[in-house]
Amino acid sequence: MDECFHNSKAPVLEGAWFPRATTWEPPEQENDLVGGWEFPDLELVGETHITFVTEVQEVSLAEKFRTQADKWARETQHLSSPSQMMAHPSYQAILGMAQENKREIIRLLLLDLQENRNEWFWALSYLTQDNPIKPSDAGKMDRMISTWLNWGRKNGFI
Amino acid sequence: MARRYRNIKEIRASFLLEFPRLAFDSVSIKSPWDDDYQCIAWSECYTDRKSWPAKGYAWPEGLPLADPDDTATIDHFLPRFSLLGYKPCGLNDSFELGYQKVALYANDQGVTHMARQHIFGIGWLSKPGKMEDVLHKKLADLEGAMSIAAFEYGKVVLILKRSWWSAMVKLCILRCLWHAFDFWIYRLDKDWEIVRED
Repeated sequence: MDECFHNSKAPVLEGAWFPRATTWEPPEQENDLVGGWEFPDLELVGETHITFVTEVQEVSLAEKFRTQADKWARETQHLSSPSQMMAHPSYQAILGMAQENKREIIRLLLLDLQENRNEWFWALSYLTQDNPIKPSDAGKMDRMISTWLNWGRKNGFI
Repeated sequence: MARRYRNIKEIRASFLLEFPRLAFDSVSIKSPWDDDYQCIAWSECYTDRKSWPAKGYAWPEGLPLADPDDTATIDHFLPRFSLLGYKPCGLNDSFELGYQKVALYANDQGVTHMARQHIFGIGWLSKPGKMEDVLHKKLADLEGAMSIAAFEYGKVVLILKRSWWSAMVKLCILRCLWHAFDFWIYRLDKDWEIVRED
């Protein structure tokens, strides 16, 4: 290939570091890439492809949630403003995942609330269109968490 | 209550990651990592709640609230802190004997953080989100970008002050003394160090 780019047919231009495109000519020898290409069995590819996608979808929602939830918790632990926390891309990504399987995301949010005490209160209210928190309990983490977990048990999410 | 005891290396790494300016000043760690309260509650001298002018947070009834996905501005915080005896004093962050001050940080989106001046003026007490309470020397130590996308505190936009007498009448002094005792116990048992000496 180096020979092509230093083709003697290419006019040498003062100050130019590459030859002009019009002067380039492909090598005459057979293209090794085409000659060496092996086409797989198309039927086998189709079957493999379908199986693979199904498995990834089953595993990935929980995994994707875990990845984004951990990232969100890590990158917003210094923030107090709820609007700043909700504006984080991972929070938005988790809300977006609810389009795929809303019920599963609500379940994952409740489990994460139970295990890691991450503040998913607004997301839960948004997705469930419910707010079981009494005004007197607002801002009290323990009470808010237990209220949402009771709500989750009552409604069959956990 | 969910306290988490992190070692000093972990604390230092996470603070310097979020607040690089702290590298140039000394910082005392005052409390464990705790997700039960945040900076606004800490400025009110509470450690059992999260305060914010929005639904789902502790905030006095009848005061204006911001939408959860919207910004909370200074106008939301002034009525709350006037109930605690505070009045605006511009950007004067110097220590005045007989007065206690709190500072409001904001970025382009709205209010992001509050810090409370140490009662004897030796620095500012901050509780960044769930992280440990710290005593930092300057308000600028926690300042950052104004952009919404930066997820930083922006700049100090207003300082409020009240008299010590006012703090006593509102029982804030008693709560602060109790928390100081509680954190003193914590520091007896765990590592607490200066992140960086001058």
